Amino acid sequence: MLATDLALAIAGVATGRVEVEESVRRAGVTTFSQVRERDQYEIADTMRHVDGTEAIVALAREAQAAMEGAYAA
Amino acid sequence: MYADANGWASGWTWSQRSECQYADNFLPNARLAAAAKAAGAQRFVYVGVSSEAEWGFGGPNPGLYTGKRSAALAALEEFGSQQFTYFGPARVVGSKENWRARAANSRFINGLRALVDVIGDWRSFGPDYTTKARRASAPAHSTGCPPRRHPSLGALQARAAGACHRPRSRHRWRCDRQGRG
Repeated sequence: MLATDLALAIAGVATGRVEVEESVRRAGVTTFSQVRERDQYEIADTMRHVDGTEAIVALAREAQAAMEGAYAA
Repeated sequence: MYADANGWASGWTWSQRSECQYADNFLPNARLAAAAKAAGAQRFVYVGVSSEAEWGFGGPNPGLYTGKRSAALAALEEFGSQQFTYFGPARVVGSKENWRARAANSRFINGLRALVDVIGDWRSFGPDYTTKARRASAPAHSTGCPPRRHPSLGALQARAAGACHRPRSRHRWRCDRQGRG
């Protein structure tokens, strides 16, 4: 269930259990209003981001392992 | 989620729907980030959309995705690059329980997706390929224009003379703008 994984991954990041590397988020071309095609530009935002379902689920597993390790210790 | 041509009013101007989607997605989230910062929050996690979803649906939904991105950039500015994290899920439903998610993973849709990937190289800016194709092929009445018919000889003669064979109406101007009528 992705909703659970999403919550777990968010909790892991918010509590600092897991870290996300900074990278460029590319998402096509801007679609601003009243801006002609030639004046739109490629979206390339540099930020710490987790992109896509698979990446979120993987981070949730990492966060879960980190939390379980912390409780076990 | 819409994949139609109603996200754009005319030319490169957003429709009312897109304006509302932008306002609904940008303002509350940007204010929330500012309020969280003012309240002393140390980290901020923003749940937006996957880059693939934005890439694919940003054309028909310009206000929605621009609003989400603008809010994320506002939060990033508030908290800085080390304290801000963006989550971009493709969907937040269980694939086994939701029929739409199941359909999205079917062989048929996967085949269409592969086709879109091939076409993707030809994608232009603004309204995406599917939107433009729909605009071009949609029945005229769905865009507010009278249904297209083969013009009569009299109509052709009238048009050649610079006159319109249909009575002037609110739709007339719009049809002219789209090269119809």
